[in-house]
Amino acid sequence: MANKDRKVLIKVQNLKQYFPIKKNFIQKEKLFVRANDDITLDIYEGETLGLVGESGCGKSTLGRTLLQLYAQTDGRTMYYGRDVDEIAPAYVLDILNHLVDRKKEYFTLKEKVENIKKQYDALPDGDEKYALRAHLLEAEKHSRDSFLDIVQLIGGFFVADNLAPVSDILVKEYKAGVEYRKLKEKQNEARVAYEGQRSSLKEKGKTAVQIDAATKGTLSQIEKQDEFIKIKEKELEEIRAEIYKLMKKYDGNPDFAKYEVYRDKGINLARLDEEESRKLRKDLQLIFQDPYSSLNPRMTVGQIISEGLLAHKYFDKNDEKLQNYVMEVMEKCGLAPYFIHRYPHQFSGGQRQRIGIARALALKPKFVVCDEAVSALDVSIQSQIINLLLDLKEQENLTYLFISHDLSVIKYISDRVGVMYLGNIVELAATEELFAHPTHPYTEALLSAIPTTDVDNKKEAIILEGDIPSPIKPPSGCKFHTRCRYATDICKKVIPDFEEVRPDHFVACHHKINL
Amino acid sequence: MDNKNTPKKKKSFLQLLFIKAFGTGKKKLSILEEEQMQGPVRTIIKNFTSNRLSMTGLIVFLLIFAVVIIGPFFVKLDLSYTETSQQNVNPGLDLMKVPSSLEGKVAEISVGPTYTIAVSDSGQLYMWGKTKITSTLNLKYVPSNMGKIKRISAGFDHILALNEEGKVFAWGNDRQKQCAVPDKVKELTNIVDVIAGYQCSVILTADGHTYFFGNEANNDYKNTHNYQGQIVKVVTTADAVLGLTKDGQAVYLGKQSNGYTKMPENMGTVVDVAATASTMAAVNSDGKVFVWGNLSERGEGKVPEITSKIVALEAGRYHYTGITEDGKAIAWGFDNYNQASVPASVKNSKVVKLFTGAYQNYAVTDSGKILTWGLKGYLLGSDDLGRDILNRLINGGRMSMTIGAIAVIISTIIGVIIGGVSGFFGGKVDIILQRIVEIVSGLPFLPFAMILSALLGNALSSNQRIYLMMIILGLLQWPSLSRLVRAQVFSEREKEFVTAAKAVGVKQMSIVFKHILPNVISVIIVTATLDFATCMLTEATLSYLGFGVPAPQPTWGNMLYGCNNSIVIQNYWWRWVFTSIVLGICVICINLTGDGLRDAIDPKSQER
Amino acid sequence: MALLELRDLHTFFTTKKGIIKAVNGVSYEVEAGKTLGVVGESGSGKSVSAMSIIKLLDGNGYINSGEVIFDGKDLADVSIKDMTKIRGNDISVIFQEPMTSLNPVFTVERQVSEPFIIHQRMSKKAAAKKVVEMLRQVNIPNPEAVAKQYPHQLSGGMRQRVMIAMALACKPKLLIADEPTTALDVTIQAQILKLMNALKKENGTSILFITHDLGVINEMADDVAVMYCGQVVEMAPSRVIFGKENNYSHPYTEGLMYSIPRLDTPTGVRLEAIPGAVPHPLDLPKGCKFAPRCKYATDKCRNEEPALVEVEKGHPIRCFYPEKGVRANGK
Repeated sequence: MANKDRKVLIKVQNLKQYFPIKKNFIQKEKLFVRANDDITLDIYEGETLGLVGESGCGKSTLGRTLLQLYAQTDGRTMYYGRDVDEIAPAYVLDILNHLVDRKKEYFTLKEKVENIKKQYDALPDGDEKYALRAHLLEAEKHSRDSFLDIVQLIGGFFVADNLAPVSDILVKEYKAGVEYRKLKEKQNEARVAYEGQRSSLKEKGKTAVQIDAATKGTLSQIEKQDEFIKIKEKELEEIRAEIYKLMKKYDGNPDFAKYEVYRDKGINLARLDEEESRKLRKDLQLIFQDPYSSLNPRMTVGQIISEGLLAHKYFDKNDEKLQNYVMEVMEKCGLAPYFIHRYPHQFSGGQRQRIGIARALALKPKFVVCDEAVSALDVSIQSQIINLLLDLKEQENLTYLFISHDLSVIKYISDRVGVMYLGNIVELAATEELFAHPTHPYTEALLSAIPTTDVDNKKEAIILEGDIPSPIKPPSGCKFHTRCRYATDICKKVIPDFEEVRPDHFVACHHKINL
Repeated sequence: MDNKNTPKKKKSFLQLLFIKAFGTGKKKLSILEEEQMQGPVRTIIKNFTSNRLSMTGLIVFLLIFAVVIIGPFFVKLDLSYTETSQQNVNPGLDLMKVPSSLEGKVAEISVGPTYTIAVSDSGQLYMWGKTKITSTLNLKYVPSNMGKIKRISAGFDHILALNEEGKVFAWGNDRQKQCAVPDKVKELTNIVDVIAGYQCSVILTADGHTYFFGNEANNDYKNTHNYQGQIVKVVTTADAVLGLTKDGQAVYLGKQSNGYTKMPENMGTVVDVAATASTMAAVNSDGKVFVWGNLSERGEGKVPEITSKIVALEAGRYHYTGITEDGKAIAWGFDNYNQASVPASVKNSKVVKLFTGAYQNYAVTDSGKILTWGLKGYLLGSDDLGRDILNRLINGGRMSMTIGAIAVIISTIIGVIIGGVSGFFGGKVDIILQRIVEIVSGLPFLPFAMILSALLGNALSSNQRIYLMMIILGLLQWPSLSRLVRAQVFSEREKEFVTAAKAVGVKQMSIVFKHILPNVISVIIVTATLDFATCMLTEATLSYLGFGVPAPQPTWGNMLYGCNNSIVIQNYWWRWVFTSIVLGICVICINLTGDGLRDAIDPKSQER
Repeated sequence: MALLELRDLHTFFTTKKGIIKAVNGVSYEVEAGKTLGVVGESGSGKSVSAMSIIKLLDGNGYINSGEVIFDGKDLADVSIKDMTKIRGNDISVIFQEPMTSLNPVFTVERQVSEPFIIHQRMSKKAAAKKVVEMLRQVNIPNPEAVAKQYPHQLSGGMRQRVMIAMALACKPKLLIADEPTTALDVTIQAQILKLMNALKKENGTSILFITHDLGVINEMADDVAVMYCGQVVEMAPSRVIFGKENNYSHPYTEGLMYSIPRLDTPTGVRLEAIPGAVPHPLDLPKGCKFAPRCKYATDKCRNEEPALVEVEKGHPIRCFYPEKGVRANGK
């Protein structure tokens, strides 16, 4: 299947993740560890995207930044697994409220880009032009972001001369939506508590009739809430009809259709606040490298797995269904259900990793980042865990971002592979394609460096000289030029574009090989 | 069948209970399975209990703790209590250890503050109790060649004896010339009685004359009193002399008019008189007892109502005893050492003779047996104010431990909050808090505590000073704990499982309480335990230096306060040895417990 | 003649819960100038067997029985004092994590020069010169500058080079490399492996190479010993073990080969995982230690312990059914 036809789950644009370094008295300039520097990436639903690179290349940081465990420094990270209405983040309201200003701002940015572009085109090739290029790219990114922020929410309305009424009605829709969702949430919480109450009564040895009698009040309250919800729903529908009416005006306007394409329901993860992204965590999960440190030694397996379920109000604490569900998940992950009351230290590394997997999968996530999930395990256990991950992926229709430094594992498990070097993705392609035709010199060297168990055709490894440079002060231009055997002058000065050299095969290099 | 089934069922129920409590039936488990079933808390407990040294420490500490906490309910403390007659008594319970050879032949017993002397029928002298009054003065060195002793009298720190030939002997403390028998007396041949009082001696002759020598400034006695020639009995309080005339009248032999002179009227014919340290009593021919003088709440005046007649009176330091006509002994007055509670064995027997003095009572029954009640002595000695050291040790222990505990609680609360906030939030908050920590831990502890206590202390009552003590200790102790907590929180916060909890969407507060706190709590427990010992020691140090808990309130520290000079250290060893030993043991035990806990909690120590 | 020979070595650890038999009857040889690769999972006893050679065991570990013949001498009997003379002089060690085995408060020069000063009684100046030479030998760029630096200023690969320089300082006869590249990145690992091979050729040093990575073993070793639960389960020249026309193998070796994905493993097919986990050293199974996880195991395997039997010359296997073809067809 060509990638264009597949549904994008996560769309990363120009992601940057810088970590500030503590200043001391001598340093004047503020330094950053540039863990991720301008990463653009699409992750498709149902695929396994492998991410490979050496230590310090920022692959783990990327995984965690996608999950918003680190506040992203810059860039858009759109998530399409859930409608933006469902979360109704505060940033949306902010944009909707200031549509008019935003549009004005966009036009000034666009103008600026055009100016720079004119300058750039006029310059002859040389250092000055290269310097301006970075500037141009930056300006372009700004204007693009500004545009997408607006268009994503209002689509074709972008053509409207006066955005004020559009802003008003959309804000109204947003607010009604928020209220509606709040009511629903409240009802769900009440329902979960109701189940818990029933279970704890059952535990106490009450009969079914007694339980029904005791919880009748709660149940009728829950049912009563349905009415309120219906009223809100109607209200929301009315607003939507109004919006539709407004849209009708632009029927036949080709510009409207052009912009309407941009309209989507994606959630910009980077702009969610703490609580909003906490709510989304059930969709986005992480499996850790170290099965020892990632489990709290003072909690039982049951507590570890159910923690997320309780935090997201899947079940009530007392609900017997919770334990049943936890056991079910454990069984699915290859853990005997009777382990439920044991503590992590009573398990071997492989079993612990299974606990970590069960914890992540209990929430029924859509996207799972496997951060070196098998690297810390013994050889014979690795394969068990890899098989488990593959089985679970098929059963639950998961999307994996599989991070590893082990190329063999990556090759085996991934559909597509991204190769990272010093905070950048240098090559991204389908697995077979990448291993058959490595186009970036770094990929080539990396592949040749893997020791194989093949005695008959031992190949000569391409030895990369020197060490990975520091991500605090990465080399200029192409970051790989210090170790690249093909490097020329341009590599030192110009950051290479991340281009598509073959269908769905992207490379950032001035001297592509194997073409 | 049914009968057989029941016990079986019971057993299985018990087993179930056992399984519920301990995870599973123990017998079936191999080492590995056992290890598998344990939660971290139980592993810690198991590790701790298998450490013999720290278990011993814990048990000993708990024993001391129990004694000190429960003890005060039985051993009441009277803060205002002082007793000059009981100063610096050596440890031992031998104050009423009557020599068995005296049994059946008691002529007279006379009781001094810490010793007792007796004369047998054959005129032999017996002496028991603590005869060593000071390092240089010991009453057991009696004059030689006294011959057959007829009468004997024990004074505060001197003894008078009268032999068959009517010769008076006196020995003991002679600072007020109470042992220097005047020539006038030496010439007398008709002496019938000798009375030794507080720093004074009174001689009674057969013709009813009294002679007084010793401290005349302290004792109100008029040499030329109006009753010379009529006196048949003389008794002394701590500062006055009472006589009984031959026509049955109690007469005051002093020159002043004071509490003693306000005698009850209409006493009738007095048959016997007696005097405690500050009161006088007389019994008339109807058996009615009158008490007057400086009556206090000690209860010398509360004569019990009895049906039979009292015929003879005796007096201790603060209590009276009497014999009724049918040979029963009764007692009233101050009862702090049970000296006014006649034991059942005495109540049930016929008392022929009764001798009372200080805190001791000796009843001679018709069968010649000597029954005793009252103060046996002090197990750990008494201090310079005559207070029982054991009593103060128990009550002081409670105070010391309370101060330690509350100080630790204060310091733990502050330390955990500051350390926790500092560690969890980091950044600027951390920087500011750490500077505060540095300032506080930079304060020179002892001088600071002393200055604070000296500045504030004078304006405060004794109780307030105790609170001040707790607060000072608490406020100065927390930096070390807060640093530990901060470091631990720092490391816990960075642990992967915290990220993992965050990744599954657990709320911030839940993370703090469920993930970070439980992992920090072990550090807190260990440090608090060790700090407890430090706080007790610091309290002791401050009190020892006189800046801690003020005087009448005992703590282990200020019990040592009085012992900071060489005289006390050399002569009254019991005043500091016991306290130091208990304090030392207690602190060592707490430290052992804390160290054991630390080892038990540290997972690395479990491997070997 | 073999440079190093382990004969029926037993190394035990006393713990609270019992005696852990970490190495339980291990025999292997390292030929002069050759590399023996010891491969196994954690807890297989591969590191302990090597550390027993130079007696670098934890406080509660001891050699219970067996001989360690090095250069004709039994090291099992040598006192710790004499051992310090052998360590670093005749036998050197490289550890997995170079940062923990380098002292962070001394410069590289001071640490590398130590063996020269101690074992060869050089003057400080001469030793410093020698250090630069050694650093150059391990391909460290700008060795004069690096010599003056502290370990934390170096990258992981550099540190491992320094470790190798230290280990080779006195031209030892035997180099024990305990997972020397596990903590390194692949590209750096390739550098180090190449360097070690070159130095081996140059100096004629024998290497005892311990790793869990079969690929690395194939690159480095002349002979391979596979260990499981404190025992050697298979031993053969590496071209035999990794060779395609190899008819005999231990099921564990086979499992290791097929369970990890390799570059030529087809995707979409599930890996042939070895089920279960390495048994606890205090709770070893009766019979063949691998039987509970072995897909070919029979009752015989579960009850009797197989001996290490030579199935062909220079290829002993500890299994009742060493022939691949036979056991695959069922028994």
